[in-house]
Amino acid sequence: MPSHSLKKRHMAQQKVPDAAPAKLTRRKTSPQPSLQHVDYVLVWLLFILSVMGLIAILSASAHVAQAQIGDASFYFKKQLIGIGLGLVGLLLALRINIYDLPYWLKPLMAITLILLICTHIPGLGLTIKGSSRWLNLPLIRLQPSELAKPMVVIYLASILSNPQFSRLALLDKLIAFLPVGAMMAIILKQPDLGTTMVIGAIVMVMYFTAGTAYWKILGVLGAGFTAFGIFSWSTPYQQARITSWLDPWADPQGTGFHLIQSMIAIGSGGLVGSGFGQSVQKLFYLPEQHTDFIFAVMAEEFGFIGVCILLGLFVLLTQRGVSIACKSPTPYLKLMAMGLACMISIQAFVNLAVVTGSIPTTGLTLPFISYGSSSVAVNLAAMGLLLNISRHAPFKTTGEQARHQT
Amino acid sequence: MPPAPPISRTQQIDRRIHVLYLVLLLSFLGLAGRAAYLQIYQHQDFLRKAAAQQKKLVRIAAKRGMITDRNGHKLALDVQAYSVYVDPEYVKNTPAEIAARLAPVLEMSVSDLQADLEKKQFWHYLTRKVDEKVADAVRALKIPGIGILSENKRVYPHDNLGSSLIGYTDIDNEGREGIEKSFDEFLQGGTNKVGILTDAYGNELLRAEGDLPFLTEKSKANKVVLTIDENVQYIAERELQKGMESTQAERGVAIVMRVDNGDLLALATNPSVNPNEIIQQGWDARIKNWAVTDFYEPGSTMKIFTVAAALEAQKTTIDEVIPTPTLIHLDGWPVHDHHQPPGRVRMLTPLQMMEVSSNVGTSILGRRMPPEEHRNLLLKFGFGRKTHSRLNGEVAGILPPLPWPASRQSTVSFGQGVAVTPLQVVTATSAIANRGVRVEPRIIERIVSPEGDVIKAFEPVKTQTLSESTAQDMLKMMEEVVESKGGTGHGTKLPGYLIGGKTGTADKVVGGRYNGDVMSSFVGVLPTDRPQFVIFVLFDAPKTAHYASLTAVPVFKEIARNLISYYGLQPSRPEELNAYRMRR
Repeated sequence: MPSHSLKKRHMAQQKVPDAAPAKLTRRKTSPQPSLQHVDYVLVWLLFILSVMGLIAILSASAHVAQAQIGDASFYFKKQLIGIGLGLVGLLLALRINIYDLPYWLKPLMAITLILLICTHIPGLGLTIKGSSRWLNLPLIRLQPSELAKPMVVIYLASILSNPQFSRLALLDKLIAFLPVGAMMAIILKQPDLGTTMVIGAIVMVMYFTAGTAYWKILGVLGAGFTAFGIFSWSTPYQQARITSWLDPWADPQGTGFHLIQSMIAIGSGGLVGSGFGQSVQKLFYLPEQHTDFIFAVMAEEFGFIGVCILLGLFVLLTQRGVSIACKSPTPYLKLMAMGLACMISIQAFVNLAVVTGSIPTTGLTLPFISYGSSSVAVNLAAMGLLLNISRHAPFKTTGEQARHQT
Repeated sequence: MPPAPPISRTQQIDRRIHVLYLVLLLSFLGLAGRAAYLQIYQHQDFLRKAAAQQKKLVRIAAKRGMITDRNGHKLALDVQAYSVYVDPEYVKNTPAEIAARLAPVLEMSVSDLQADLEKKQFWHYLTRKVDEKVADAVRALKIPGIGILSENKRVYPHDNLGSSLIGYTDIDNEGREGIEKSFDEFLQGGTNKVGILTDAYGNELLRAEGDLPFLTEKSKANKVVLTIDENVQYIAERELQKGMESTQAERGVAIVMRVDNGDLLALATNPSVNPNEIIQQGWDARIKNWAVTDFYEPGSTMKIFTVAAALEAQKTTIDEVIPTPTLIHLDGWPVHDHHQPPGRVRMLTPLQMMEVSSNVGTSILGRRMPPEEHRNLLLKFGFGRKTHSRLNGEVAGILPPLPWPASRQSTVSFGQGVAVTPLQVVTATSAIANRGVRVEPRIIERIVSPEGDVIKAFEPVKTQTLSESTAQDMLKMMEEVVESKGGTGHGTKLPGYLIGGKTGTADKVVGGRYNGDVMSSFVGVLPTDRPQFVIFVLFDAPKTAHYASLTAVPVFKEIARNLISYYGLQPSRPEELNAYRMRR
């Protein structure tokens, strides 16, 4: 495993003791900062977002759930279970020693990869609308790709924070990236282009934050868009996505239908919206009204004012991530904090951009708001990690770790 | 990484973090801009687009207008009913399964329903216009593809009452007979247009209570107020039914008309049909309002109008004594009086001619008038043309065209070779009862809009037909027919009340021949000293007796008796009534 080989090399050199994975002894000696330093703004933000999600799900899914399942609050209840699991995950993530995480990386990455591979095994994987994204487990329908996102953040934060990483040979760097590349490939194969792209964006964010040269980042981005462009124009399915985004009204009953319905919902909301529960578009006009397109229902019911509040909440979440990252004492924590915050805000941005017709359609949920128990559970647990990091912020200048900074 | 700038790694990371933060901020700002563009700049445009797909104009069959009697009692009205349909597109079960569950609820046979479901693979009704209980039961079954539409159903609360007059509607609520047909354009509910919000499947959204549809366009369904009095109609039908039972006649008619304005208070025919069941019974069950659609030879009833015409033409006086043979020949055709041996000559006044119903006498009186004058006078009475009743299918009857040879004029004089409708007889009699002013029969009093405005009022139509003195003379004579012990109408005598009338018994023409059956009738005025009602009773082919005195007269008497108590008529001769009561 790359991390293993990295650790080996690192330990062999025995020169710079700052990188977290190398500090085996710190497990016993490093102080666990007090819980009172937790970023309470973020705690409240998570609470508000989760409640908003529950309210939005109740409004958006009640009719569909009643029609399809016969229980109007079905999705609401499932989401509550997801939030409950997420809270457990959050508290666990809050209590662990964040510097221990790298020691768990190997098994965690392995489990994630195995779960991802399982989605491709018939019988284990659950295929909905042609996409095998789920594992059908009792109580919860697990979506391993949701788990993959924070795992990629933790993994990249671990390896990129090592100051020796930049001095590695290109081949070693590529080997180190291999587990992430494998995850992306498996998810792309599900197929889940949206999540793959979000993970790609997280990877870019992590490398960029770690200090990779601008020209390399721009080069990879350029290559990525070129590849995406060629891919889009060569496959009819992707081509239809692009053309229907460019002009949805060309085929209002066909490829343009989803986008048109979404824009009608948003546009008819106006400044103040039609009021809670009053959306008409959610009544089977909108596709995926409680998952991918839940924002359209919110925009219809709460108008531009509601949209601005929601955007403000996501901006605030990003700001908390930035703030925590900047206050964090080590590159390892900075990278992880930024990665976790961006994981949420980038997915939120992509979802909102798709639903408002700003970018071509791809299936992605809106973090904390869309229905999806795996998603909300994993996101809450990931935010638990971010809160954990926030506890280390006051040690930026006075803490033991600060002296290890070059 | 270029190591040139002397900054620490954490500083470099923080700088990158802020760059990223800026990029993300700008991205979210862009989203806010996009939202503002959609929600504020293009708001109206999207509202229109939303309305175009969400709002739908539905046409709901409006309730058909009511038909009421003169006192506002409902004779025909629309109620909410429910029709059950199948839409094969949504069906998930097999026809056998559906039939097994649905048939008991719809009260149909399982095999019939199954066959229907198997045969018709398209949207169709399984049953129409069932009541709410059945609809609720069908809804409770929740069978995919089986749905319910609400419709309006025409209901006649009094079943058979006035059925031939009121008529009925077909399954689509369109008037088919009677008032329902002739005033269909006023009664038609048409469609109400209502704007509703729908979900993507076109289902109407439930509105909160008090929410108005965004558009409502109501059609006009007017109320038709008849001149009929529900109670008088009931009396007439009841007594007619009794008469039908005792006479074993094929059909019967009873009409009650107000003298002063021509209002028809009752127009009863028998046999009748229950219009609520006519659709189930099929078209064979339908009956026409033969008081206006059929004509018959009036027989002796016509003698009233012959004598009245002769008086009006001043060809005779009420007390002129005319030698009347019991048998004469005209153009080789014999004319004779009933129950009289031929070869005798009786000395009869016009009054006595009426009393004994002399064919020869009225023939002589009729022939004193030139045929044109005779015919014109009958035309003035309203024979040979339709009344103003506006009833569906009314016919004019037959008043033979000129020239009238002697035999023709003679037979017309005593009511043969001329055909009239029952309503024409009533109308003509009104001229006598109403001081010479004939009033056209009125069946519709007014038509009222849903807002309560009178759209159309039907004023009485009056025509001076006779001089007042002739009318008075005729009333006297008709009164005598009842009052005199030997009069053919003596059977209608009610103690204390003066009634005038005339029987008529004419051989029935079937296929151009007399078949031995008779049309047996009585037309009368109640009371003769201040006439209020013209009452007419006719039996077609009574079997137990031929003469009107045994068929129509008893029915007339019972109707008159009931009218007296219903309207509380004061007796013309109280002392006679008291004496009668003493005797009892």
